[in-house]
Amino acid sequence: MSFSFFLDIFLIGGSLTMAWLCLFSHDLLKAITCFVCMGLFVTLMWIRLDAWDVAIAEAAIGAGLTGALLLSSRRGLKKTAAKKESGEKRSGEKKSGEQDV
Amino acid sequence: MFKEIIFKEDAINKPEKGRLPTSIAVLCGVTILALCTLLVGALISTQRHSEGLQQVVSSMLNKSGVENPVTAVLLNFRSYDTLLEIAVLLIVAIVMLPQATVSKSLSLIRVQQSADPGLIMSSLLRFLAPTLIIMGGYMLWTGAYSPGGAFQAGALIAGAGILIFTNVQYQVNMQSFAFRALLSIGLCIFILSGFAVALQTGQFLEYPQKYASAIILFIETAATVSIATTLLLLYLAVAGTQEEFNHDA
Repeated sequence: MSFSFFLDIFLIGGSLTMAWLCLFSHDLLKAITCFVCMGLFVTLMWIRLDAWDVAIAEAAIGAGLTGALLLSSRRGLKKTAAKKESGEKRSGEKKSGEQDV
Repeated sequence: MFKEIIFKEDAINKPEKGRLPTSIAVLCGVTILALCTLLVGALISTQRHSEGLQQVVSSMLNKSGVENPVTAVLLNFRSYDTLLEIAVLLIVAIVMLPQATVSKSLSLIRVQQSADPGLIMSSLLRFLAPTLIIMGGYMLWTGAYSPGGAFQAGALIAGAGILIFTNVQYQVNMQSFAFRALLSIGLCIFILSGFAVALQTGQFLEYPQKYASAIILFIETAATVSIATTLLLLYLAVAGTQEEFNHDA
């Protein structure tokens, strides 16, 4: 059992764990972080396979850019959720007001 | 089937809804496991092939104009595929372009001196953005000899762009002519040079051996610009910065 064997096991286990955590976490922020971590694990796997081109692309796009995209979509979702909530509240107030009249 | 989206900040303990019944979940698990076992079994039982196309590529490498086999395959031997890939990227960019809320005549980039980006943002930008752009240029240049190339360089420059336009001081006008030109320059240059070399060699995208290296670098440079702009557009469209551009115009 050489060092590289343990390294491979670590990378496989790490990426699978991260994928699991990403899929089954309730917190979106945690899921996104786990996704980015999985991207970095996969990058290291590509390096182990001597595919440097793919590793660079995976690190830049898979982990970095997609992470940024997901984070900004999360912010957008939150914004619309807040808008919806405030809209509902307003309409609720109106309804109660009408009832009073 | 999918769980409701819950933000940590506003949901302490919501009851779980929409979970699969246990029996179906177990069935799905067993099916997936069986498929995976079959796949792994097939992989193991397959005889390892010979070298594949590696030998052909390395024997033709000195005619391609570059020394990196990946770049040689991407931009010389199978450049038609890359051309279509760039076209797909352009289509994605066109689909993702936000609705026209900003006038076309406004400039590409607007700098707002009054907005305060904060100390961390501005200093980070000052150090990281030039470094990233130089790294992108290096990636592009080094693609001829070692791992790297247009796509990696474009991704790096797009990262720099995201950093710049996350800063509130800078805003980009996605409706302007310059932005569209940047988006499409990669495909235009690729097709034009494809036809230009056809005049010399008689075949679309078949580079004359003498100028192959220069042509590849030229195409890659244009492709880098387009890839960087497309990836940046993806981020900006999702982040919705265009609304703000209009607000204080």
